[in-house]
Amino acid sequence: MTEEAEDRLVSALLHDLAHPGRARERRDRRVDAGLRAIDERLGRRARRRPVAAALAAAAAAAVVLALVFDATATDATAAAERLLEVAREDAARRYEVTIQRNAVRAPIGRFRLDLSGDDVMRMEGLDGRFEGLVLGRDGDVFYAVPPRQGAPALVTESRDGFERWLGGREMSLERLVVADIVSSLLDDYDLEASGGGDGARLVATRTSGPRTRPRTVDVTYRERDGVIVRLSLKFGRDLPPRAPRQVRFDLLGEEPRDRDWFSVDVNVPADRQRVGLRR
Amino acid sequence: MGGHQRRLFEALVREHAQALDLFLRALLRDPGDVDDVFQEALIVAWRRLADYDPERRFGPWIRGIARRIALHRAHAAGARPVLTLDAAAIDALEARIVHVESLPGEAMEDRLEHVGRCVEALPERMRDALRYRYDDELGANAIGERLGLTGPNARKVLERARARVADCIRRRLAVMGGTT
Repeated sequence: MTEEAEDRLVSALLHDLAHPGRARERRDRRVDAGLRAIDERLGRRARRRPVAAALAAAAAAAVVLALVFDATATDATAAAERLLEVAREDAARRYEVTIQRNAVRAPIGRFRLDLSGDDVMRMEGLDGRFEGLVLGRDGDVFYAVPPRQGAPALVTESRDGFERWLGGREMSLERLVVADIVSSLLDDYDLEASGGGDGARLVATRTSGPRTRPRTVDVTYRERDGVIVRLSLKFGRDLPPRAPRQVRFDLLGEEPRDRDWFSVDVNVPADRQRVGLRR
Repeated sequence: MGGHQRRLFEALVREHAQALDLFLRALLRDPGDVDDVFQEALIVAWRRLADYDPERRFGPWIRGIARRIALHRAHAAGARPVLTLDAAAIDALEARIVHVESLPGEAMEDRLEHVGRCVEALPERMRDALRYRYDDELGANAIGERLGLTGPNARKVLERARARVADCIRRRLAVMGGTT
């Protein structure tokens, strides 16, 4: 195992050596995100102090209020944790995903998205400019198969590279993997749970994290099993004009699928040339 | 904690960020997990800054925090594979990062030059394999095609090339009086 540790470290060093600018940018982004999160927490704590003092002075009534609010927050966090656990299960679920530039105009595109846990996915464009386009993830490998016969298929192990490729088409993995979306709710969002039964809701409002993440996330889920039946992401208006304003996931069904169904070999036709990504 | 302490913390974090980044990328499978654990490690380190002994090195301290967060995350993730290494290998990884930090240079970026020299010293085929893998980001099959090898054999060439780079780093450290 020592050799494996060394191999992984040398591999990471070689990546940084090959792409120093990208490595620096990624590192700075990570540091900035961490420091911003610290400053935001410090800021929130400073803003809360006078409220806490006022509550303390209000004695018994305030204690009751605080208990009620704490319980609500705990319920919402527990609900988000359960949704995350269920989203990460290796259970295949199919969603229709609608990406809109705003709520009024026609959608940019509709996709059928199949997920099974958080490391495999396959999506297929249903109409408009994405009709017939197949995108997928098979563990560490990402692929894209254009609809045009004979067009080469993109196959890459670089998540960053695939993310950049998607970015040029107004898409992002961050906005497509249900488990990743729910995971971000636990870090950067204020959560509010309501309702129950098959229409239980969790509404999340972003308080920190990158502005490219949704401003609000509205989750409708089945209380009995924690499966998300609708997920609506709304983005801020300060993003570039081409960026989506809204992404909606609607559960179409839950069909058992084995891992091979998502694999590169099954989804990239044998007659397509496979190309990687260049710097 | 005051503004001075916040600035000092930021300076320390920036100085040790690349080693923390390398550590987490070697340890975690998913870049999303690296983002999350990196951020959480900074938050926890800031919260526990009073526990940090300035007589000791900051890098191993914050990587220790990151390691615990990563282990906790792996535990919480259940069946989802999060970590790439077991406990003994994580110890070995930390030891190797300390070695790389011991290479001469002001910052980790300077130390990458030593890695570059180790790559230059490799036989041509290994150098080509590494260039295809890391510069061009090709998979093993595509590298095999360029080198006239099968995918699995190309993967072996890559592994051997990385092992030789690791060995070269160790030798450079020994020559320069570092620990190995």
